[in-house]
Amino acid sequence: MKIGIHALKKVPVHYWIDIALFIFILVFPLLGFKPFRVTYMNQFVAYLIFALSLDLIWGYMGLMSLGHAVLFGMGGYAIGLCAQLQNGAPAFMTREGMNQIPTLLFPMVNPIFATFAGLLLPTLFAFFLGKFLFKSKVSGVFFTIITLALAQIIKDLVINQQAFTNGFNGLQGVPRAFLGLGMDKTAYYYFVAGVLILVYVCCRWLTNSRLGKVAVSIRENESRVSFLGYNPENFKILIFAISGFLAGLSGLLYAPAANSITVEEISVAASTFVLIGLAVGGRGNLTGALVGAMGLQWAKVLLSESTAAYWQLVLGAILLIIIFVMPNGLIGQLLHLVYSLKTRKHKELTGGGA
Amino acid sequence: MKKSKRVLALLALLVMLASLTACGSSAANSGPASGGSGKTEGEKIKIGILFSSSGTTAGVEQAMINASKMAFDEINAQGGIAGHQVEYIHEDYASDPATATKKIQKLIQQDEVLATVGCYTSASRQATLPTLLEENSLLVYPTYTEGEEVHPNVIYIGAMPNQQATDYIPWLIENEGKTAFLVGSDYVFPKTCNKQAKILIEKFGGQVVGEEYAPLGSSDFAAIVTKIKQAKPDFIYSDLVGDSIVAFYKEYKQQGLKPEDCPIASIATDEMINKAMGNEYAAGHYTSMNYFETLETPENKAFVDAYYAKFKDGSTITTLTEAAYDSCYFLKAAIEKAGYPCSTEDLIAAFAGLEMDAPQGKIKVDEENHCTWLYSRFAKCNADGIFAVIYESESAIRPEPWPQVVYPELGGKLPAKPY
Amino acid sequence: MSVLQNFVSGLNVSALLMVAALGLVVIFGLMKVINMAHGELIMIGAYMTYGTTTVLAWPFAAGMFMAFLSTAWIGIMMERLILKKLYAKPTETLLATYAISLMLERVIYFFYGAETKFVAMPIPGLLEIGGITMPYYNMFIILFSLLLLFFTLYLFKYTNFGKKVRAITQNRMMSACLGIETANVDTWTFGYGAGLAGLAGALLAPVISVTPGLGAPYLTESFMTVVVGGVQSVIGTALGSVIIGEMRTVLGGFTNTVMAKIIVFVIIIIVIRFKPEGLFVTERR
Repeated sequence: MKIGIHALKKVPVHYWIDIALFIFILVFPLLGFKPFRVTYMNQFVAYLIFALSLDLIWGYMGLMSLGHAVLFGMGGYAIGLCAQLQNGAPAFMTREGMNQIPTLLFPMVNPIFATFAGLLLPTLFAFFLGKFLFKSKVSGVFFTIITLALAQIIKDLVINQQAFTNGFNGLQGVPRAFLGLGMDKTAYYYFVAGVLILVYVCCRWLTNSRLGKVAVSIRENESRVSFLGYNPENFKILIFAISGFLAGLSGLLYAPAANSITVEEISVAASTFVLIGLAVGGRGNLTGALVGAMGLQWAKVLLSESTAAYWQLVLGAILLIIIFVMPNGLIGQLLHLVYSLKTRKHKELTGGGA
Repeated sequence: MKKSKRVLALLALLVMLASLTACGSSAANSGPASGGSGKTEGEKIKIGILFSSSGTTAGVEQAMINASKMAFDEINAQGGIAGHQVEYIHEDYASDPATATKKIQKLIQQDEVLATVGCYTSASRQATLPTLLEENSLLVYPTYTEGEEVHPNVIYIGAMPNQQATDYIPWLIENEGKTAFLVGSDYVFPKTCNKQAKILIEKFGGQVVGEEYAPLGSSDFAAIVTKIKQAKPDFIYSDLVGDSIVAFYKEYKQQGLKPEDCPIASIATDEMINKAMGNEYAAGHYTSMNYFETLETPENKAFVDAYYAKFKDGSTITTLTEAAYDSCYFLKAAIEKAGYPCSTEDLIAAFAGLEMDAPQGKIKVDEENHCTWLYSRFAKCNADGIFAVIYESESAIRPEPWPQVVYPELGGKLPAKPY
Repeated sequence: MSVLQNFVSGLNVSALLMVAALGLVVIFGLMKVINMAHGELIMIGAYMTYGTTTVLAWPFAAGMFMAFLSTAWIGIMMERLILKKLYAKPTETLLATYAISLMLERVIYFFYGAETKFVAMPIPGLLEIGGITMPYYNMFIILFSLLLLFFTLYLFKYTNFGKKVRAITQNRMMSACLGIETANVDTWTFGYGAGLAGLAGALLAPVISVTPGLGAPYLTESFMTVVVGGVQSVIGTALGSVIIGEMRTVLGGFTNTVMAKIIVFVIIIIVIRFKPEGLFVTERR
């Protein structure tokens, strides 16, 4: 028993925050809020997977992507397109003169295929993009600028290719389902929450594994990692691909929760919003991503209900305050405080001296 | 130094916690539903207003917000609807469809509105549809639109494509010439309208010599204007929307095209955009709308005077403003006809055949298709930047969400699956 | 014929892009700051021109002057109050400038409302030679942008200030040791870069619609231009803007505008992949 408590004490403090957050998510539908709040929460929970995926590359590898929402969108559009194709060629195809579903898109009618496409496409896209970029030592700000440009191109392309994407209007009416299994609101909510917890556990495992440690070392000093005999590019590509997979998964789960997917959700602004969430929560510890993204989404919803016009000002102010006062974010700051308390205690115990 | 920083950090944390709990408690307060069925005499009728006051389309929607608020304020001053005062709740969907979904859910579930007046873009309207159906609520949609959709939970007060084009295109071909160049923004509204326009142009002996689409919000028209100059059309049929219009009209003049040779005939260039681009660019071009600010009906004079007396924010009255204003009065009439309290089904049914003396004239909601009989008018912008009406239909024209010229097999009726 | 016309029109697009990108190359090249508020500075320049020429009815030149001054002032304030404390932290500066961009946009909403504003065309009329037309205003933009380019080159090549800037770019610590007041030089450079963004806004104001969202599309394009040209090269940026502006307009004549834009972007990304230092930068440190 004593050993058990001792073991619990060894669990880092931010793990407890994660657990508290998951419990909060799980009991949220039972708290008596109006159903639409639960629907919001369902979307935000799906977004948390996106936040985790972004934390993997930004927090752990120091690569800031302004175009990550594109990968998110691939998942969302795959499942959205599948939903639209269920009753033959949808209106946006017939409008462009396609009265039959094009042969190339025919497999997309099958929800199982669409799901796999929505997961595989962003993974492969991230993989090849990573291969293309990291092998040439594109790094730092250039990576950010390329992702910015890429997000812009793909948004333009999606708006332009209306026969496949319904352009600016996006894909509406995505039913709550996974692999073709329809679910009601509550079932879908818990399904997404379950996936989030699973993804979280995997991310924890990943970041504590050798892979995660190498990723952090790449962030800190890439050339030293390569001196040590690792090939940093391959690690980067691998983690970028994993992150792409998770982003796609997030989009795949988000579109049914929100009932739609539109170009706004793949834009630079969408990526930046989650990046801000990471900055506020603190990056590189997963907890910050969860707390920051969740907090910011709710703040946006609730503040825009009362003071619609000033929400942007508030967001800007929050971000500036965080950058100056807590450059490591809320959770980063907390971990720092806990760490310094512990070392002080340790010093007291060992009679000081370093 | 270091200490002060730590104190600051603590303070910021506290503020954030406080704001979070504040948010939480406000959400919790809104939790329990207020008693449902027992509607009393003094109870207010809640109506949602869903327009953007931020984001890319906020400039257009500001006047729509104003007009809706003005209409409900007037209704309240006149004693409300069937003795009930109106309480309107404005939500901002920030020009974003996903936010529109969130906000309509909030209006229906939390504010328990009887109906909502709102949405500007087609994308935002479509984003609200599943919620409207699921919650069985009503949206009164004031924007002119592409049609090909009649949703059971939406009443369309804005023009359908046939109401803007059926009289317009024959007149253009007769008076300006046979060749037309189509320019539009790259999304569903211009594409659907152009589908109809092409058929009409050919039906009346004209010819389409070019068709170009510019991305929404694009301001780079050099290449498109060059193509127009090469094609030498008799007129340009434009369904560009928003900020692109200004850039296009300016590039047109900058490259030496003249309205005397090749005027732009638009279905979306309104008073607000004329003001933004200046008289020298707007002059000589045509616009087809149901309503112009300059109409000389007594109803319109009262409306325009009341609007500008109330709002001095620099906003301009356009057909959208009038449609938003009409929407509120139609809603009032429908609630009175159905009798308050009423179910959504009764309320929607009450709209059928409803007539009103709007600023644009006597208009009515169609008995069958949820759309509105409106006037067809077109005007030429004069040198002072004012629309001089050159054609006006004798009475309101029947709306055809599926225009007969495009879908002769439907004969103006609705298809089997109208949304 | 139409290719030639598009080429002539493309010069104008290039010139506007160059002015927008010059401001960025000054900021990005020297300080490695990704200024996400660049688009908003362009937007504010346009609004200042609106305020000066339409509301106060002053001449257009005064509008340009006001646009430069006000955005330069905002730039200086941004640098002094916020960015100064974040040097050598690229992500933090990026986020901070993004926060500023959000706030600036909202502030403009607050003062001017969201409706499109009117700015009169200062130089109407056009020149026509053999069917090819060129508006006088476009000529003015091209001439003015060239003037600005030469001034910027002169400023950074031959003046004392410019020499300091280049010294700092090469080695900040060393320059500081040699007694160059790096902090001041940073501030003024940022102010100059921001002022150029404002000028771009002033030049744009008469030809496009002045709205709070005006600057956003120019952010990405300016970055592309700078990256293609070379992040530390003013000349490279000028050439980059000509390449991008011309390619877009001339290609736009063959396909549609979106496809032209997409093709250009894809080419740029490939260029960055193989020459991250930019097309027109030869020396490598």
